[in-house]
Amino acid sequence: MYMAVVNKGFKKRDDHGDHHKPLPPGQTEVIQWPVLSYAPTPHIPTDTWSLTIDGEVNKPVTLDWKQFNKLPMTTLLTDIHCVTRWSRLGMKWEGVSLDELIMQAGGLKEDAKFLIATTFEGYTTNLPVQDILNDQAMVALKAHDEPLSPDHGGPARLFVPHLYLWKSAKWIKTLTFTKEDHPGFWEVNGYNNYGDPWLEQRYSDDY
Amino acid sequence: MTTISNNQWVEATVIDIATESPEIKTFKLKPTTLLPHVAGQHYELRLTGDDGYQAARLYSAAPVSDDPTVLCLSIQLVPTGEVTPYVHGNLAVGDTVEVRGPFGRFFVWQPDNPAPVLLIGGGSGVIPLVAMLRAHEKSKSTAKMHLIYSARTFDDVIYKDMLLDMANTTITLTSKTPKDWMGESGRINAALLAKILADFPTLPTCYICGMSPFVSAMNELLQSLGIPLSSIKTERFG
Repeated sequence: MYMAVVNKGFKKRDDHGDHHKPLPPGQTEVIQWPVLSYAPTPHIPTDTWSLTIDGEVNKPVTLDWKQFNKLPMTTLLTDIHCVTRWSRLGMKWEGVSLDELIMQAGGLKEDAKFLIATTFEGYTTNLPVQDILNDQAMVALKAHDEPLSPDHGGPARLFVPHLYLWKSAKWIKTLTFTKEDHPGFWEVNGYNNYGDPWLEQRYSDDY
Repeated sequence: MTTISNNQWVEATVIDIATESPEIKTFKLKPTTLLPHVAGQHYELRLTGDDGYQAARLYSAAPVSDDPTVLCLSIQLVPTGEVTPYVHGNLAVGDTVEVRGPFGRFFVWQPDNPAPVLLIGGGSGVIPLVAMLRAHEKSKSTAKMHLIYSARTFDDVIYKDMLLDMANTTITLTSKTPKDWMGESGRINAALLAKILADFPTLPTCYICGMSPFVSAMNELLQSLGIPLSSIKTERFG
């Protein structure tokens, strides 16, 4: 018979963080902003920075820093959830919506089903197209009105706040739309292919 | 006993608790299933309250036992936290907790890797690095390995029995030093790193672990000393 583990006297700490909003299961609120990356932080000068949108789009395009910054900016007020069990609530993020970037590339072809994001480091992550349309995602430049520091993915990172944060690839370089799914770096290394914090899809076997 | 997926929670009994420093205790756990790991990996520890409330946290595997049936975690007390005050204050020998793992495939060291290695740890960030040092010592590896450990005071230095006598370990104390202290003092700077790097036959692979500002500072120092980004592995917390 399996006897469930009970740690007598262990309880939720209500003074731990500010629980005005519900947190996804297994998450704890943090006030500061932890930095987690698989690789050390690269420093990418904006004069060598570029963003390419290619694959299943009508008019593949590469934007330099100046061109990118002339595009209309949008703001998202949102929470972020990291698979390592911290969440930061009520953040303000600013950047260019993926809808706008897709428009810059002449729109999606009918077969575009997945987005493969590649960083300056060569790290990749994969997302279903329906998760990045309709103002759900942006290439972010600022958080809380400050330019993103290199540690947090600056000068620009992908930002898809409704999924665990590893999907929001730092140091974004290329957005490639594909017909088929290509699991990215963490996804082939034991993490969940989709990463919904509300369903606790942390690891490969968490369905 | 058989091994299982690292995704499955396993019951584990606390068999020993040792105080490493004012803030860090080592818990020896006996899981009902073997969960073997590679140096540098971590495990998740889960507590369940009387009302069913659960909380889990990740901790590095600690290098303090050669018994493969024992899982050791060195855990730093975070007084404002939810899990560590209970772990430090309430958990006793004979109690049960749940664990799963191991996790992490990048910040690890394998004995068959011939590259020389420089380990740089700040505070409790030294835990996975000492695990690598210990794995190196127990292996047949002839690769050069050196640890630089930055601690605040002598009391904060953990695994003293293991580290104080090791020729390939440099400890620096950043806050205050005992009168008879023979090690380094002050923060790790370019001069100290350059001195230790000079002893390496070829540029080493570098592992940095600690609080985020520490890791950023070390990363920049190493790059300024000519270590390419591709040879630097980092793990951060806080």
